[in-house]
Amino acid sequence: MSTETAPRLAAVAARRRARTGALFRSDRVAAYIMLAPTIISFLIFLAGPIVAGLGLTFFQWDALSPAKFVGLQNYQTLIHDSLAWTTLWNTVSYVVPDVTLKIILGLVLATLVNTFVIAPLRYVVRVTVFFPVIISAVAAATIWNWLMNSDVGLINYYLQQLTGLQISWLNSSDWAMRSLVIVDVWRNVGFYFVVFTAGLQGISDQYYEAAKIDGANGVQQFFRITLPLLSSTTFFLLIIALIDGFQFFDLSYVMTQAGPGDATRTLVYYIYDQSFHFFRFGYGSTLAMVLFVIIGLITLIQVRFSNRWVFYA
Amino acid sequence: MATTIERPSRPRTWRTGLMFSPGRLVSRVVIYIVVVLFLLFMVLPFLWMLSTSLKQGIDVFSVPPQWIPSNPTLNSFQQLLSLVPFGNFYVNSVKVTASITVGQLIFCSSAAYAFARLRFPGRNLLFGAYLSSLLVPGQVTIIPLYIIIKDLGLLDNHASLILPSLTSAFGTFLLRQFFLNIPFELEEAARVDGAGPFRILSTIYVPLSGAALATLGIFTFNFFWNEFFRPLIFLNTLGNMTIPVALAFINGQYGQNQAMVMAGVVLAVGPVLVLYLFTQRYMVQGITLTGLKG
Repeated sequence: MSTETAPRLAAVAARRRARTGALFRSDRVAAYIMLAPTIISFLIFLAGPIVAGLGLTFFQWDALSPAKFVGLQNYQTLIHDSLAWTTLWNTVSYVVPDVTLKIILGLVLATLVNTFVIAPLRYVVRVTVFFPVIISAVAAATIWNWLMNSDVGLINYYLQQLTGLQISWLNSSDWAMRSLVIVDVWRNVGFYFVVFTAGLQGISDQYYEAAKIDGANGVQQFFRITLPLLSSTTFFLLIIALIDGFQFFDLSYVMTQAGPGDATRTLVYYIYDQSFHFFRFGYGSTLAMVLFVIIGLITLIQVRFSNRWVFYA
Repeated sequence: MATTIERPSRPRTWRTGLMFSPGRLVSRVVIYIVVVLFLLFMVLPFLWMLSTSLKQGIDVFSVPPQWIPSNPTLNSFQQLLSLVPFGNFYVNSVKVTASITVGQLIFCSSAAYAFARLRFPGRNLLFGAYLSSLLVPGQVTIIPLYIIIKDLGLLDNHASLILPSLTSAFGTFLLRQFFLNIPFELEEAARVDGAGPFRILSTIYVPLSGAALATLGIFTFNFFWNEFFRPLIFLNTLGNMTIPVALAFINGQYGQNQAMVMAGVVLAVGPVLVLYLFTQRYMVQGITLTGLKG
């Protein structure tokens, strides 16, 4: 800074100290103008609907006749609604394998590629593995729908040739959810791979050198150095994976339509059904609140426990 | 933590022993095989999609399956285009996604600057409240949102998708982080020269944020291009549908003709692939920078 501006800045700073708050009066007005679209949008499309959603849980409404106040009846119905509990269980039985596979596969792949594959090929791997992440879930679902067709799908053909078995991927209540997990992992593992790779590349070689001097082998290095230093990355990915997992809907809609029966009816699917097919807005809102509470609790628990295993380098 | 993105290409295995011992070679080969298998797992579904789309009608059911069609034809594409207005789907998707992306870039930058550099009462509280909205799943607000949209008469209208998405807590958060890292001296100098906040934002912060804005733009564009839940609920007429909803419709309506359905997927995914090849570096960089910040 030139010596000319220094005294001017000092004067400006003095004026700043003299006022409380803004540097210039116009700051406050400018702030309000700059924030106006955000705040308006927040109120109309976010805060308002959240409050309204909560309020709706105390009503029964089908959008045609006037809303009927029913107090806590929706919640009572919910507790006794076995289908709701089934969908909750379905959601959990989706989330657990889905999150586990995404994180473990992503980590293993990233470690293998980062450690053993040479640089030009690493680029190829990254570009290839990341592509399914950016196509729409619907596109992925449509492709795999055809692949997993029990009668004429490609997978069953080769399965038959190789092992004589046939699996009813999308039509058996055993395999339907597993198939959806496979497709979702196929689509998203690239993201986890990329994030883990970034995390791995941020680990300084010095740790490994020191360990090698002390005689540690590859496996020991992985569990004692790599994993702990990746804990913040893993934490971040775990939160994202869980939040995404509980909101799972697209694949189920396209591939199995929540079937067979109710096998792949997740909580979000149930919310969608109740709200937009049966037009039970009150009950749908109640279910949505349950989803909100679940996601909030899980995230909260994760954060609370994070200081046991997560540390930031 | 060091945040290098590209590393020198020497293999790192030297630190665990001899580089060319037999054990090393075997394990190296095994690992390469595993990686290649995984790559195949990623790619083969797309190849099969392409192959199926180039077949006609019942040829898709031929046994053993033909990876390269014996009579490749663009017939299925023509059939599809005669049945559904795919061109409209593109236009709709572009219209909705571009509007949202541009809107978010503009409004998130101005909000981010206000939260980062301007002082006003309740600033931190407001930012915290805004940020906490990220935890709320979309399904909680969708019902009241539906009612609002319906009352505004915007059902089946693209505005129903665009208007609620013009601002983003996530985008504001990202840009605010970025803005906070821009040296304050630049702004001070401009202030001394008499620039007001709008001037400073547009002539200093925005030009310096090219990378962050590009990253945000790409991710926002990709996210809303692929969005399914809201367009499914708000758009009813075929002619108004965006590509994901249209694809689901095609699969549901014409599922017997998989060649045609696959043609639809090719049409949907093809342009994305082309764009991807140009922008994937920026996407990966963007993730890398965000991911490391946790």
